[in-house]
Amino acid sequence: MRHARTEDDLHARQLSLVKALVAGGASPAGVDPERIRVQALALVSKRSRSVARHRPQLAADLGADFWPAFQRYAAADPTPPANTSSDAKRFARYVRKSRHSLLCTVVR
Amino acid sequence: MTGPPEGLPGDADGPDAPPRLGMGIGWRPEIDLTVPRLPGIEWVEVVAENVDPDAVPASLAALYQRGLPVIPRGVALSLGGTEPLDDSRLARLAGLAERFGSPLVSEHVAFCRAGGLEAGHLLPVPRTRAALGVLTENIRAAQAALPVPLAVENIAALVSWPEDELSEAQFLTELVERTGVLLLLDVANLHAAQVNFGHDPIATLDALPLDRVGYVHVAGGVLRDGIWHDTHAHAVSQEILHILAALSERAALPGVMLERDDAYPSDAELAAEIATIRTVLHAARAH
Repeated sequence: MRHARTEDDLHARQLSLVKALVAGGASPAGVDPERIRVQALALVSKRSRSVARHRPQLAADLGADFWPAFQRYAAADPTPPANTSSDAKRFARYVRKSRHSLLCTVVR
Repeated sequence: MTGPPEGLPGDADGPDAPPRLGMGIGWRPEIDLTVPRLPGIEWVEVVAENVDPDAVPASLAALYQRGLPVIPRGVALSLGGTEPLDDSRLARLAGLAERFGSPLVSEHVAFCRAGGLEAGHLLPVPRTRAALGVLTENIRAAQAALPVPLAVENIAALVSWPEDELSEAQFLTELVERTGVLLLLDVANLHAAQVNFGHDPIATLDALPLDRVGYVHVAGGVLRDGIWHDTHAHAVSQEILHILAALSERAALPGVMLERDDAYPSDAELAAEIATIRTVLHAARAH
């Protein structure tokens, strides 16, 4: 297990942590995977609050479904967009698509 | 400003002392009309990434016009990252400091991106000699680009690195000694370090160069499944106020501010939190 003893090691360790949190990577060696899970969830929760503030009407429409829907959306593509505005746009598109496929399922 | 600032107890100005600020609050667009109505607010902190120096919101410009110091705080400079600092982010911090004539600016002892991937959050650096080297270099680069002193903040972490060689206090002290940087001490984050990693906040306070504290953050959080989440969306709890009291007993604090970023309470509740913080500071200094 190589730890952050040099700057190169430090870069590799930092990259492994970010990948574990937002790109579905494995937990960095020696770091508690349960804490990684909690931190990743906290990141998604923070994003969801920013999106809710950015698109209050969408959040109000979804009501109690907002958080579960956001979690499904984030799980499908864990890498957060560059800013809240694009996150909100992508989430809105995800919600529209899932409503559409749900409707199709019901009709069928 | 109408009349002299009320100040905090035990103000002590020396030639090299950090500028005195008094009681402040984090300015946010959601509470921009509340902030001017809160009694005894002497300064505000703004999130650098959310305020354009060339398009300052009218409510914030009005506070500045009234004479309230405005302190820009960056949240995404990634001082602890191994990649070069982003010049545009540094220029934004410097531009805001110029725009407001700020006495200082602040950032975090953290990294938030690597290899082109954004974490969207402040992440802890391993407390190793290698990381100290990277932070020292980045802090010096930031200091060279900024027109005013820089303060760096201890973060609230959920994960820790097995390779940590130094305590948080040793790590921060090294940074102060190497770069002359000021500290933005977050007492809620000291509480987070206690709950999440078992680090005694009082031992940390006793090992830090408290005369280098530029200002202090106070914020609420929540305990979930044995882990402290620094939400800035809950009321400030007693444990955090106790750490603030212990800090205030040990040093004259140039400035203390409340951070609230979500689930905003009523104006009266915010005012009551500010009053409570002030009471804690006065009681601690009376000892």
